[in-house]
Amino acid sequence: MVHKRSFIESFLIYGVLVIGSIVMFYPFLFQVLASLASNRDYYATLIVPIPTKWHVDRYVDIFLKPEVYRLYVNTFLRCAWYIFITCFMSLVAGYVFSKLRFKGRDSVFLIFLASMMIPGQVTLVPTYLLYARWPFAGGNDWLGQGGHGLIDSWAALLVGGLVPVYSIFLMKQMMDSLPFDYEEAARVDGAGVARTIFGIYLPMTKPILAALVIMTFIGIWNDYLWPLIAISSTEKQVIATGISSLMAATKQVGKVPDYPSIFALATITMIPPIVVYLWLQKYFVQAFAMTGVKG
Amino acid sequence: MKNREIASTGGAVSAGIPPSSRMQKWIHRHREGIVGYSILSPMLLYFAIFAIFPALFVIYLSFTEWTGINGLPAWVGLKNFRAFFTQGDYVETLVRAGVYGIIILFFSLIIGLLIALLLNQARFGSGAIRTIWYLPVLVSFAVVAQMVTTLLNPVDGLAKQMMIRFGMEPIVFQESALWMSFWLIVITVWKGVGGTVIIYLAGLQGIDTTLYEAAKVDGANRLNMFWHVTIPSLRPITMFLLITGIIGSFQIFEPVQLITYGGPHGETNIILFRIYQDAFQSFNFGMASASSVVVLVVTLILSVAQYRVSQRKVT
Repeated sequence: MVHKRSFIESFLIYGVLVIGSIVMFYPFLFQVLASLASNRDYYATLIVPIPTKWHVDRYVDIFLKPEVYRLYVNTFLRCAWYIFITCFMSLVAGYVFSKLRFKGRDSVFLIFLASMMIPGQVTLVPTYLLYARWPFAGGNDWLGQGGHGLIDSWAALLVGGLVPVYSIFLMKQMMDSLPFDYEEAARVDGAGVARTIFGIYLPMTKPILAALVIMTFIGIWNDYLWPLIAISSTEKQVIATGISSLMAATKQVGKVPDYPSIFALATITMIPPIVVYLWLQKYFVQAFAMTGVKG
Repeated sequence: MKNREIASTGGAVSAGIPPSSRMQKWIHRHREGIVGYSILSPMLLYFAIFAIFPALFVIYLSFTEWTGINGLPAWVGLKNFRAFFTQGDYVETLVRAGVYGIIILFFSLIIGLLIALLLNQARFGSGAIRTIWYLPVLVSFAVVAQMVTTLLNPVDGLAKQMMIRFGMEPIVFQESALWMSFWLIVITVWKGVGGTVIIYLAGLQGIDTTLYEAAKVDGANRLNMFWHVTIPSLRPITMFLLITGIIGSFQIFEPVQLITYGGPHGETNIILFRIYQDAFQSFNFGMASASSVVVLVVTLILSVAQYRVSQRKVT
C-alpha cells in the first residue's frame, strides 16, 4: 500500500507499538533490575526495583554453584544432541521423501504426518510406562519388571523424538522447491547418496536448518514436563526443572530469603535461548516466509 | 520422466559396469527404492516403538487399572470412562481448558493482529519491536511461573507489599478462582502472543499486492480495503490459529502446576494437570490414560474440522 501518511497516523501507529512493547518488555526489565538489587530495594519497588548498589556478585555466586553449572552442561549436551539429530534426520529423510521415487514412499510419509495429529500430552502416560518398563534396563527383567527401566537415566533425556516429523516435513517442502536438475547432475557425476545430501543439499537448505536449530534449541532448553516426570536425581537434572526447583527452594529457606537471587536464577536461564534467537533470527523469519505458515 | 529414466540408468553406483546378471539388473532398476527403504526402515522401526506403540498402548491402558509399578494391567472395561463422565472434576477440567483456551485465543488473536498490522505499516524499528514481542516465546514457562508465584505470594510477595503501600486492602489472590484464572490467562497471553504476531505478519506480507491495487481502481478507501481484502486473506491463518490454539489449551501445564496448583479447591485445575496428578501422584495410570484418550478424541475432531475448513476456498 503506497500511501502518504499523515503525522497523526504515524504518531498513532508508533504510539500503540511502543506502549505495547513497553508492556511486553516490562517483566524482563523488572526481572533484571530485581536480580541486581538488594532485598530492601526489591521491597521498595514502585515501578521497577532501583538498585542502590549493583549486586553483580550474585551472578558470579550462581555460576560458581556446582549444581547450576551441572544444569547448564546437561542441558547444552541435550540441546547439541537434538540439534544434530534434527538436522541430520530431516536432511536424510527429507531427501528420501522429496528426491527418490519408489513404491510406498508416500504411504510412509503419510504415516509420519498422521502421527503429528496425536499431541504429546496424550502419549505422556504410555511413553513414561514404556521407559519405566523397558526390558533389561535399570534393573528390569525381560518382562520389564523389578527396576526403574530407563527412567532417571540419560537415555530418558536423549532417546525420545529421534524422528522429528515436523522438521522432516519442513525440509521436504524446502527440497521440493529445488529443481530436479541438481539431483540429475549429482547422479551423472556418480555422487553417492551421502555426498548428494551433505554436499549438494545441505548448503542449499541452510536457512531451514538455521530455523530448525532455533526451534530445537528453544524447545529442548525449555522442555519441562518430560524431565519433570522422567528425571529425579540432581546430577541428571536439566535447566528448566533444575532452576525451577532451585527457585522454589530459595523461598523455603528458614531465614528471610534473598528474593533477588530468584530473579538472577531466572535471568541466567533466559539468556541462551534469547542469544540463539538473536543470532539466527534472520533465517527464522526467512524460513517462515519460505515454507508458509507452519502447520 | 523420460530424462529421469536415462539419468538413473546411466548414473550413480554402477556407472560403467554393465549389469550382467538378472540380480544386478533388479538392483539397478530398484536403486532408489533400496536406498529409500534402507534409510526409512530403521526410522520406521523407531517410529513403531516410540510413536505408534504408545498411541495404541494408551487406548489399551484406558480400559485397565494399573499402578504401573508391579504386576500387569487389570482389565476393568469402561469403568474409567464412566468415572471420567460421572465422577470427580474430569469433565470440568476438560471444559475449563477449552474455555481458558478460547479466552486466551480471543486476546492473542486481537492483540496479535493489531500489532502485526501496525508492524506491517511501520517504516523503521519494526525488527526491534517484533523481537521484543517474540522474547516471551523464547523463555522457559516454568521459570516465568516461578517468578509470578514469588511476586503473588500471599505472605511476603511484592504484589502484597505494593498494594499495602498504595493504601489498598491486600488481595489474597490465591483464595479467588477468578483472580487465579486472571493471572493464568494474562501470563499465557503474554507468553504466547508473539507467535501470533509473527504468523500474522507472515500472512500480511504474503497477501498479493495486486488485490489492493485492484481495490484501489474500484475506488475502495482504506477501510474498505482492510475489510474486504486484508481480513478475508487472513481467514485461513485465523482458522489455523483458532484450532491449534484450542488444541494447545489442553497442553497448558506450567502455570497451573506452579502458580495456581489447580486451586483454590481445584477451581483452576485443567486437564493436563489432572492427568499428571492421576498418573504421577496417585499412580492411577488407567484413569490417566482414559483422560488422555478423551483428549485424543477431542483433538482429532478439532483437527478434522481444521482440515475441512482449510480445504474450503477463500471467497
